[in-house]
Amino acid sequence: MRLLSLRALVPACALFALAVPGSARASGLDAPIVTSGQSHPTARDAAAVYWNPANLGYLKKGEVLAGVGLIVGDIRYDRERTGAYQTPDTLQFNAPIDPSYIDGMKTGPSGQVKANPIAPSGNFFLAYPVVKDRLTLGLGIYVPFAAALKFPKTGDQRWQAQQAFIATSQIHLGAGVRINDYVALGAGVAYVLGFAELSKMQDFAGVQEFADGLNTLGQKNSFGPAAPTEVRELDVLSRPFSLKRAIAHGVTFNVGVTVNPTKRLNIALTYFHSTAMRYRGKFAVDLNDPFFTQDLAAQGLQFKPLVRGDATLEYTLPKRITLGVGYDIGERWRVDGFVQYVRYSELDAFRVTATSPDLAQPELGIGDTLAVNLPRMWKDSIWVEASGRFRATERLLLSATLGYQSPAAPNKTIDTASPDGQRIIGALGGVLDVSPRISLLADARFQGIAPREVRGSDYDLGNGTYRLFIAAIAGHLRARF
Amino acid sequence: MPTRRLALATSVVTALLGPVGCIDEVAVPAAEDPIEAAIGQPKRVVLRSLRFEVDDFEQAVNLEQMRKLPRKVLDDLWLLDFDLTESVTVVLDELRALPPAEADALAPAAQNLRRLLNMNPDNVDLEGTQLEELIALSASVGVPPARALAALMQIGVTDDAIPPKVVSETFLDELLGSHPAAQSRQGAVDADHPDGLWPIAARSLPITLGDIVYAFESLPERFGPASLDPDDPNALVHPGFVLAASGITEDAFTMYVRVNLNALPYKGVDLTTSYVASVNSTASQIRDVFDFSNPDWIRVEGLSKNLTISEMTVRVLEDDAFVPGGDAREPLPTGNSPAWGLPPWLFERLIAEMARRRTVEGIGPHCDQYKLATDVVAFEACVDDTGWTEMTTFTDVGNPPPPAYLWDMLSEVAQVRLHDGGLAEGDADVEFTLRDIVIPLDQAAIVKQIKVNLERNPEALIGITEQLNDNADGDADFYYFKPSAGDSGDYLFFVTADDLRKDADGLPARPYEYERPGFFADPELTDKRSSKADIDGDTSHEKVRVAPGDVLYLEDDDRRRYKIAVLDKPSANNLALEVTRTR
Repeated sequence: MRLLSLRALVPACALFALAVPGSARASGLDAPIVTSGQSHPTARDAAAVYWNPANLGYLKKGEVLAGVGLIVGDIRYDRERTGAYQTPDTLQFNAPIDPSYIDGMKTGPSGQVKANPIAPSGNFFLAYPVVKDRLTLGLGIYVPFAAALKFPKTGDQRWQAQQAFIATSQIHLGAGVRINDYVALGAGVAYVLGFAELSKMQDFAGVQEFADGLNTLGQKNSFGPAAPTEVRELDVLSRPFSLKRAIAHGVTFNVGVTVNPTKRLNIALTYFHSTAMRYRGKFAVDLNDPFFTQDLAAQGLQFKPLVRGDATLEYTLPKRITLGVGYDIGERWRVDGFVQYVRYSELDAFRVTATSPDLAQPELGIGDTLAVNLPRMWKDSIWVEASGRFRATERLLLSATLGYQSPAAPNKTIDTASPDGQRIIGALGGVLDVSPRISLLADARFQGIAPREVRGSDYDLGNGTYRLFIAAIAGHLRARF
Repeated sequence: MPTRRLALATSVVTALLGPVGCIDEVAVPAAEDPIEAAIGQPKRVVLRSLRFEVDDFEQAVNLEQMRKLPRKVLDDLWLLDFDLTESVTVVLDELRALPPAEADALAPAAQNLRRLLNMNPDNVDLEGTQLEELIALSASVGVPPARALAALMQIGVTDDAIPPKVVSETFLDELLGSHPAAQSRQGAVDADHPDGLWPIAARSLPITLGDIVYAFESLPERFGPASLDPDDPNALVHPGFVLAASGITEDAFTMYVRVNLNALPYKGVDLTTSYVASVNSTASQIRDVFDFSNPDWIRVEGLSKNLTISEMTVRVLEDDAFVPGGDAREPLPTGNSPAWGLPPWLFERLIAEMARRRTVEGIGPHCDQYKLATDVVAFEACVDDTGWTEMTTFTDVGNPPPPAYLWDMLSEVAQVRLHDGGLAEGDADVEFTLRDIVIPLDQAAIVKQIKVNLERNPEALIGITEQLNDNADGDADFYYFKPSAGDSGDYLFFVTADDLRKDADGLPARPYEYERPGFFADPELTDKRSSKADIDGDTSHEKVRVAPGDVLYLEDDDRRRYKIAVLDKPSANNLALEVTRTR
């Protein structure tokens, strides 16, 4: 039985997927600020360990860059059912069902649900030249993603997500080598630590093992991942589910090269490798209904009211490649930008395994370990940003940024766990040099999607209109030594 | 431990870098122990009407599972009447052909039967019987007595006096047929069987599912001593005839039943505690559970090769007194032998019947004349078409035996010869054991017979089906019912005796002790609102249609009274009630 159906994992999977730098760029819940807004692929600062380790090679002094941030969001979803649904308090399991069981009221728009995530974030970067003008080492500890979702438990999105929490940290070591003034090379390796929790209403109608169990009893049914809407979202089969304390460890690396054809023009090319992630956590599912615990015991269906066990979630984050360009127009102006191509199409599914002796239903052919592939079928995405930086005074630098991210989640698989769309990004920033060695950095960053109307969601799971707006503010202290 | 330390460390790191979250635990409320409702304290309950309609669900019931079923359920499920004639005949044939050395090892009663089976004109000694005179008569005309006797019986001198087939048929007709357990069985009540008693086929052993599951171990009990009229203490008691029995049923025996039913129970209320209980819904659906138009609605595997009675010992008791043959034609058609007044299970009666059948079925009217060397007829033996036998002498060759029915003469010979060797009257019991008899079964025919039987009486499967779909829980006093189609109303059904939860033995877990089942409009229970009106084919339950705002009163089996108020419906197929004990 698939305790974690495709939709069950979307929250965690989507969020986890976005937890690693780069992958976050294609999600509606990614952290808007991983580093200071003054850091980017062609920037020469301690955060280059993340953006482009080659630029570490150009640091002449040691540097510490540390900051904190606060992310707030407003995510809204107006579900619009396009399918036909059965009266929720019945249990017809083989489509097409008798029209008398169709709930005529359960169609079209439903009430809006919203979540307003608030999550603090922080980061720390250190760079230290070990061979002057030649080799600089870098360390980064940062949170590329920190988000919390709390949708109404009884909202119409509850089969997609009720609550989710995700926090991902990376500890990144890198090195940059200055070949000469024209070329630098760099590389880094990062330990990725993921933490996730989520809850949702698990619809057993979409669980393959449940369908198989009925088949074992000789009962032709329409359950399973491809279940039509007529048999979905039934009261008795909608069971509260949670994944708690799920932790993943992963390793990845990045490499970069910087080419400076002229003193004013910088070109950066970086590659961030894919990351294999395996979350291990605990799951719990509320099966406290006589249907699961008692009424069909003679047929071999008898769960404990609350089933707990171990769960794993596995997927591989896609690789990405970034091309950045920066140009100093004069003494006071600089423009830079980048385009990043993310191979999200590599992320076709999430693989989940839930294990508990209490899951076993031998007479139905259900063992204690259940595995499921959850198709995501994401698309490759593009992230483009351009910034203008103006040194207003000798001690003050101001910046403004505009950007765009293309969505990774297609209409077929989008839902409230991964609200996504054509994303517009805007940011303002400033640097105040308190002293030759100390600077204060401030950033405000915004991103949002135009209302995304979805009608092609598979099995009507995520049809409706998505709205998203995220704001982040951050402050950093930069010290050079 | 390393994993734990790693997890702890990573949690700490995560906590430093981002708040550890967070989401609510999934929890279920602790199960409450039902407590008795206090007077005047209302409690809200919600009853659900949920149907899980399984279609063509094949339930395999193997031997192991069947042995977990209550014995009564198995014994009540009659499968077929098995005609024992051939089996018994085979055994008697084998007994008769047993080599002397092996025969000596038999019990005395078995040896008696073997002696009876081996009697033929050539080996029978007529001395001491009414036919003794035939010895002298035969000698006078130079004919061996065996030949004269054989002629009288119209057989060869070495032919069986009473063939095994006659013996077996007589045993089965008289001995088995007179036993109450072989005459009728419980079945469906219909116009032809208003008392629910169905006749058992002649010479047949009624076989139940319990016989197969428990390897015929109950045969000695079922066919042991039994009163012919249990209500009359002075009634004759059939002594029974099966001393011991055992069988072999291989584990392969499996019965497959296809059902169509709502597999979920009805949800009701145990008024004592306001506990939401479950009432098994099988019985109420039993008429529609099986699709008899589907030839595979029931099938049996492992039956044809495995139905074996490994041992069944049959004993026939002899009367303590010698029973003489008759000497008059009247009363017709058997004559006046006291044997005909004996119970049909006693040996003397059986041997008389065997002889009568042998005469009636195998001996036609004829006369045998025996001549002297002078070609003068010395005596004549005639058997008429009623079996009456007269021997007449025409010369001074001796006295003929007195006239009698031939069966009287033959049964007397059999009785006398069985007591050769000093066996006292009453000690010549007859016994034979059916051992390791593999009953040749035509599986298709038997399965067909099983189908016919069960299609005629599907209620016989209520017990087993309820056990297979054992989903009763608690002791509801009433339950919520929604008709399956056409009627969208909500009904409350007061339980009947059939609704009571069954215990491990398949018996009701509690007695049905409701004095006033039903729903009433007043606390005094004088104005009944429920009736047994036909709803979805049910006419056995007190039932009432309810709607939000209704108030009803009822009494449980402990004479406590309750008020139930129908609340606003939570959803179309859920009913909310407020239950208050009033006294």
